Amino acid sequence: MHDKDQSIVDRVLAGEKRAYAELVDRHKDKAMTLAMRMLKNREDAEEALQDAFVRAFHALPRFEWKSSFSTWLYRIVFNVCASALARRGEELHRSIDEETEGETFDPPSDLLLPDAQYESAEFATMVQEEVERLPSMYGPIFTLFVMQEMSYEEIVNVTGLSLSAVKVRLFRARALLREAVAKRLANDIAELPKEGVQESL
Amino acid sequence: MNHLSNNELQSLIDGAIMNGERSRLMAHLEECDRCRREIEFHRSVTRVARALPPVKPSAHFTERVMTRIAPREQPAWLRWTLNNLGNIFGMIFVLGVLGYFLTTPKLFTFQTSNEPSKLTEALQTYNGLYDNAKTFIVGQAEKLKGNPPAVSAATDETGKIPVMVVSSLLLLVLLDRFVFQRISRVRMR
Repeated sequence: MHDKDQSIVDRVLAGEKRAYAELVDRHKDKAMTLAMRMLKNREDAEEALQDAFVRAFHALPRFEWKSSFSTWLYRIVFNVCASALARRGEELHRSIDEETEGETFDPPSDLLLPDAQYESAEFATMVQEEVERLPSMYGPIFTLFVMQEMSYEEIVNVTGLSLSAVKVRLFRARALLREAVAKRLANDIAELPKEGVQESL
Repeated sequence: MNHLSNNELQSLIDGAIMNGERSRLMAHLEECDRCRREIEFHRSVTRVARALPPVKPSAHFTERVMTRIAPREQPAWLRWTLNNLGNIFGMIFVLGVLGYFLTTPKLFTFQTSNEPSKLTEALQTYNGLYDNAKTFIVGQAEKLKGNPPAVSAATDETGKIPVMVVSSLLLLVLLDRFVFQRISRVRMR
């Protein structure tokens, strides 16, 4: 992946501008997922992603390979989307106190997880819908860590947040998902006919 | 019973626990149903989320990015043609007009035929307007000098050709400046 990106970047820097289309094709889906998790609107996300790819192209001569191309690109996407959110008046970064106070955050204990079938298609649908609903503050961190399998250090590099802030936001994202999905699972069980409940118990 | 802390829970979900901690945490999980369920749930969410399809941008996304970065170069002949569209049309127009005049000498005499063509009629109207304007200007000039206006019965046929040529060239310049060059610019975008 890294070598392939590097060979394409070398071709672009050598003057073969059209080769940049290969880089766009390789990274656009994951980058779009990140933009969508931040902006929650397809049109805005696509516009921001276009801007990010154009900026990345112009900044390519200054890219020093201190990180992978994808990490560098996601940083640009993240910053472009953060600017778009700021224009909307939405806050993405909070003060250090607000970030760290979450270290004592406890998952809700009043809503116990039911014995659910986590392999079912319904569960997958619930997770997808609730991931899409995660606030812009937490959704991107969850996406980068879980869906794009980035390390904490890479996420720090992409977002510019501190390591503890990344961990707190990831945990809050998980807690929000847990609460939302557990509620839906509990509702589903409540709606089952009595025989079904007895069987599931 | 003390439950797992957030950090411990997160480390267990991600499988990133230190060796020294492992036995203590596993012992807790064996006893605590709530924490075990939490771990199982979050691992399932992680597994499902990892398998979710990415959000794809629209079909022509890459082309749109590339258009902003490196617009495709047009062939040289097409670029030249578009840049010189006004001149080309102008040349064709002038050649057409000249060719028509040269091949239709009757027009130069402006004799009235029994069945004048539309072009002849148009040129006669044009010449009539020219004559009227000329008569009016000459009359006004004579009035200012105190002389009675001279009635010009015959028009100066030789004076019409330069006026027509200058008017045609002026028309071409205006067409080129305001029509053809704009069309050309729009097509180059």
